[in-house]
Amino acid sequence: MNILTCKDLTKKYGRKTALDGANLTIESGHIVGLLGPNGSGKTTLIKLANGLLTPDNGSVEVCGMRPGRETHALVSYLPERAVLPLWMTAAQTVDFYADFYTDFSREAAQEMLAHLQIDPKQRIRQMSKGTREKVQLIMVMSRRAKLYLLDEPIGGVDPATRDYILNTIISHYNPEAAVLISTHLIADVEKILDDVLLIRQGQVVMQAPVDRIREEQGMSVDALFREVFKC
Amino acid sequence: MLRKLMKHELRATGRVMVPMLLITLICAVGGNLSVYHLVESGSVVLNFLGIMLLTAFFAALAGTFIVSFVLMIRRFYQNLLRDEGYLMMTLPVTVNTHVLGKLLVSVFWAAVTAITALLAMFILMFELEYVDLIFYDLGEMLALLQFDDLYLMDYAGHAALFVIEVMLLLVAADACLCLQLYAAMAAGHSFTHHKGLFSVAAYFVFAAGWSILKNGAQRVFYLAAPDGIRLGLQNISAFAATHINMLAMLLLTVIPAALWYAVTIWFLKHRLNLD
Repeated sequence: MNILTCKDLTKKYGRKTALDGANLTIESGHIVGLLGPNGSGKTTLIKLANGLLTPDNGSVEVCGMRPGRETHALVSYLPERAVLPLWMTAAQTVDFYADFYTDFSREAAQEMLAHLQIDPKQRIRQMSKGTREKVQLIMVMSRRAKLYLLDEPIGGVDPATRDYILNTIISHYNPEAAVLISTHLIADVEKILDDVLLIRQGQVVMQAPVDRIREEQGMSVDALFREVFKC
Repeated sequence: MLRKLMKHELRATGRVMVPMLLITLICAVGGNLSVYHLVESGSVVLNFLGIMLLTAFFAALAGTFIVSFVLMIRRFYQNLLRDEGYLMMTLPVTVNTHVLGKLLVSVFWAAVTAITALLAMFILMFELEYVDLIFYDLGEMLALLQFDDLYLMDYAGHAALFVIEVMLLLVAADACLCLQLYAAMAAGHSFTHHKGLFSVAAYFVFAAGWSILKNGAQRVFYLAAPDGIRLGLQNISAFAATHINMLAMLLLTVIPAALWYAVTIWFLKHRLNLD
């Protein structure tokens, strides 16, 4: 089943074209790496899928619907920046997610907070950047969503936390769902990916299963990325 | 969902507003002490302290109104158009519900601020010996009221209606101001650059546009209204004229409010540009 479909998706910021007629399809049960250098259009694509930006041309659909209230209930989105209100405590953040998402598991969130030794009474404002990112990821992965859109989930954390985050993604995501992970830290995520989607200057240049890349190209995804995007 | 949004909005704003309102009431008690005991005590120190307490009261009173106004703008801007917008605008909630939630909570705090200001002024002027006087005057008033006096009852009915109309107008005016600011921010933030500048420009463009529209409509009404209506309006009672006037003012507040609401929704639905 197609979870995410983009057809000729185009987005411009003034004169700069961030996404240039992107076409792609993501099916359920797949963990897909959205890979590309900085400024290639990864974040723009994810924002369009969330309805945070309006496309200039083309269309984006989640489970056959345009981004809106219905798709927001199906998508669990981790932005690339800290978005949780600073005045909230971790426990209030759990309450907030539980209030709005019927697929949110309070138990899973509390278990992960305890595992990472995050005090539920601590305010987001008092947390380090890394801890804020962990809380945000815990909230996102505590949902049983149809589509997880994770924008740079391991960008700002130490290697040990990276492993924990990747394990969390594998162990907590709904197997019938699709996961789209945007990153340029390919070596770290390669082991959990089923497919990769290479994006350059706003265009999708390759969409293929990781196993096929290894078989046909005879190289890892990391090596392929370095070759495709060689400066 | 509106109830849940309002719950979180009240929690977010209450942590700023409740202490501000309490400080105002505490300062009012200090102001009362100052008015009746310190300022005219004859002691330089107590006199100075009294003036300081009175200054603190008026500063707190003004501060509460300013904070309430700034918070109304800041919550919309930060919670929907900045980083928190990534969280809020991806909730399974319609844009209508978001805007309505923000509006209702803003109007609520404006009303609470106004009531607190009245209460604070009452506390400032309150003296124990006045209590008897107030109850005495109330008793006198009630004694004068004759419920079988039709003229008096008619007058009281109009007065009560006028008070309701004034309150409705105040609420509508506050909602209209909120929505005009929301519309300007939503329009300004649809641009890629200079969002703040475009928001300010949008505010003035909207204000000018509405002013032109309103004046044009009034002119058309004046020229096109049948003589019967104009003559009819000249021959009505003072009470009726007052109510018609209030109704017209209410309409001239509700219409632009509805317009700003629609503009806000349109921009947030079709031109949302979080970057």
